[in-house]
Amino acid sequence: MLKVRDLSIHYTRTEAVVGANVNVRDGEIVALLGANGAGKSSLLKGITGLEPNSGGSVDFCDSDVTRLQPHERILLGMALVLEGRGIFGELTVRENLDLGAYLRRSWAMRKEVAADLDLVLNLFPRLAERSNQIAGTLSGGEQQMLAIGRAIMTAPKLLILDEPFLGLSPRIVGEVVNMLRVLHRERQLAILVAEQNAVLGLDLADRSYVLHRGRIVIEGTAKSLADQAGLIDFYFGRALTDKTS
Amino acid sequence: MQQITLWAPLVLLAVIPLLSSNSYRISVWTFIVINLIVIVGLDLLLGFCGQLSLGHGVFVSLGAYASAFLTTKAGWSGWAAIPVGMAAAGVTAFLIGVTTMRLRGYYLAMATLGFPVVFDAIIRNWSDFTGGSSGVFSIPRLFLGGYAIKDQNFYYFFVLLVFCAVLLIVSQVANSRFGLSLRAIHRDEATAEARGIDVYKTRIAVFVMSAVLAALSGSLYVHYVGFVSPQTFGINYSIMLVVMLVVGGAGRIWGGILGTVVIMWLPEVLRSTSTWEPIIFGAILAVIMLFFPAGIAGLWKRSPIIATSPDLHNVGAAPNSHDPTAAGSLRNLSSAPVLLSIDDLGKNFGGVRAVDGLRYTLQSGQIKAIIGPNGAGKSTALALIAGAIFPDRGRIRLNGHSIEGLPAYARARLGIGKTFQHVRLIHDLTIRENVTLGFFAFRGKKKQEGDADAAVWQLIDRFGLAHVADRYPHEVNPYHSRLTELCAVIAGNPHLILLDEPAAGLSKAEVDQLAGFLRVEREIGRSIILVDHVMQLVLGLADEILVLDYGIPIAEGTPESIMNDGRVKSAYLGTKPAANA
Repeated sequence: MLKVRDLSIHYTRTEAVVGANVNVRDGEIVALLGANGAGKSSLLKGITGLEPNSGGSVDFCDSDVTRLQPHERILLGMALVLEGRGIFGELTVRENLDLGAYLRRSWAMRKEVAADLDLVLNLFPRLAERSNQIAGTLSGGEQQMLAIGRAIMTAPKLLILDEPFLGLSPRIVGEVVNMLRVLHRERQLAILVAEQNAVLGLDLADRSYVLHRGRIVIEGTAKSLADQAGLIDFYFGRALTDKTS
Repeated sequence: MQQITLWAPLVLLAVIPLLSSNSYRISVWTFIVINLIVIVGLDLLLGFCGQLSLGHGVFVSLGAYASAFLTTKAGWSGWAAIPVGMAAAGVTAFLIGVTTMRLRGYYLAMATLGFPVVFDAIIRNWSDFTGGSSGVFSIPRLFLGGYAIKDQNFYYFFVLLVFCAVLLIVSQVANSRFGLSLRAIHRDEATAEARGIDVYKTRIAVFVMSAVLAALSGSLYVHYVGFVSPQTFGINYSIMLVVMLVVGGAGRIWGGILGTVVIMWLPEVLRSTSTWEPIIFGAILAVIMLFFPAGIAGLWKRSPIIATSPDLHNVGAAPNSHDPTAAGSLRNLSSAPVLLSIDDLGKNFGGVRAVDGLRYTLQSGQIKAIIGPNGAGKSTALALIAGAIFPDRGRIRLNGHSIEGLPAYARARLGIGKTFQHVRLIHDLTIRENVTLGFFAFRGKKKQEGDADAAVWQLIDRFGLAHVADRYPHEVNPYHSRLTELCAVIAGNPHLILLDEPAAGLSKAEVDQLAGFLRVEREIGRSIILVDHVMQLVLGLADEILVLDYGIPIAEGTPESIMNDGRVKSAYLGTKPAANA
């Protein structure tokens, strides 16, 4: 479904991502792991077009999207949840969710959309309680729920999540993980998730990539990676003592 | 480097009269330099502090009319009239500032847009003193040793000298900690307040300063031209001032200088094109704004203030060791064991009850965690203590004194430091400069700038940020941003640190390191209130845990008792322990 070839992203002073190759197959959950500053967010932004790439290509659903704008890629079926941002603060919770389904306006889709809304509101009862509240007045964690909820409302083929569990209580984290598994199983939803919590990432994913200083250093099934816990600790720990990073 | 970019244009300005004996050209350059005195002051206000004044011509006018009236009607010497004009402008700006600066947004722009209309009406109708619409004529020149300054070149060098003095003062202000505070207010008021900066007073001070400089410029103008009328410094002039600043690049003193020279000299260059002049002039401005939205100066990156050589840490403490006497031992901590006590605190947002009946006490040197489901009111509780919002009812006492009515900056100065849920740093200041801002909250012994630089460096080094000290916040990873924010808070030497989800998004190793840093702060005697979902940090650090749900405390106790509490398990932890618990 998603094929990323030799993708590189440069900022003024640093190379954020160097020659990354990432694949997500139909209906697969893939985790991008790595320490803070390893380049996970930059890679996701490169895939969705929010950050211009300095080399390589991105294929999505058998078409080359490297030159497409972010909104054009979203039309093709990507949905992106950025870290804690990206809600419309002046609109109500319900309006934010409705906007998620903006592209599914046809009469034929109305039942699906209503079902998705039920799904989101059941998953996050908090959002149901506050559906007429202005989204900007929600707490940080509630805004994160709303961002995830709105992404689900777009009925994407590929859901891209950047640190989706930031600021969520342990109970909600458990519930979101379960919901992602259900969507994955019932709708063959493919998921690409960036996570610095290796345990959580490996628990959720079928396959994982580990990024270190902008390069993919390990790739494998979640099981094979979980067995190499020492290796992962090595990469995660090194970023702390690494004064040049 | 900064010095060179600032003083090189001055040398150029100084040689201009030597290049041409054409008296018309020298008069144009004299007007340019007189204008520069307004521009650098306006830059402090608009470029640094982010406040737009659309009526600065009024202050120039005040200086001009004070000089005109006092010398022609009252027979004063010009030298005595100049300070009177400056004082009049200062007082006027103060009065406008007091009424508008408390409001956020475009209020100053609106007020300064209306004020020139009023001023114009006064000038025209009060004609006995102001000469009405026809203005004041034959204003005498300035006298030096009994002789009027009539020589053009001499007057040019005189105003250039005045401008040099002004530039020296303004650049000192811009590069001081006060200058940093202006940039902070511009980018993020809430963060500035949390660092102990009095946003309101600072804005008024800058507004007054820029008005005083404007009046000085007006006086120098009329003593050169000998004439002033209501049109001289009307609304067009005021708007032209802003255009000069924006085209040159606001927020970099030499940018405004460049813009003034470009805009005032360009018409002279284009004069040969006769009727096409306004079109070409407009096109050039449009092109500059289209392609260089940050102005001409925006083409170059601002060079950060690097006050201390990085060698300093070899002399000071070794990395990761703490020297309480240098980095800031706690200022006379009260002997009272209770640092903070909160009684029946409540806050509603619209119909939503965010916090209700919150009460607890915090001992000196204690770490207390607040946990609870999303939207339980944890962040609101912290914001109430820090003064970012005010409670509907209830009391907050710090060392026995009620503080619930004090604004955020005052609480920061009393020793309450706060970090934000999403890291808030001033994005156009470096890591080092962001930490330096924290010293605004420091009210123990007033730190000299040099001492503060050394203390900043020690803090940065202790938190392992030395290698990123001169990068900008978007160039460092999220963990380093978190630590920078924490450093800025600690630079204020707080009694109490409020942390809103400091461990969100950190790896296990980073959480452990952060916990280590916070333990050191507890040993020094600081208290911490910690809101977080990362149980690794909460359980590893907290002496006591308070659980909130729907704004109401549902449990309080030691970490062990809380983790075994049935209500906490169902409301917060979930039946199945989640992977990141």
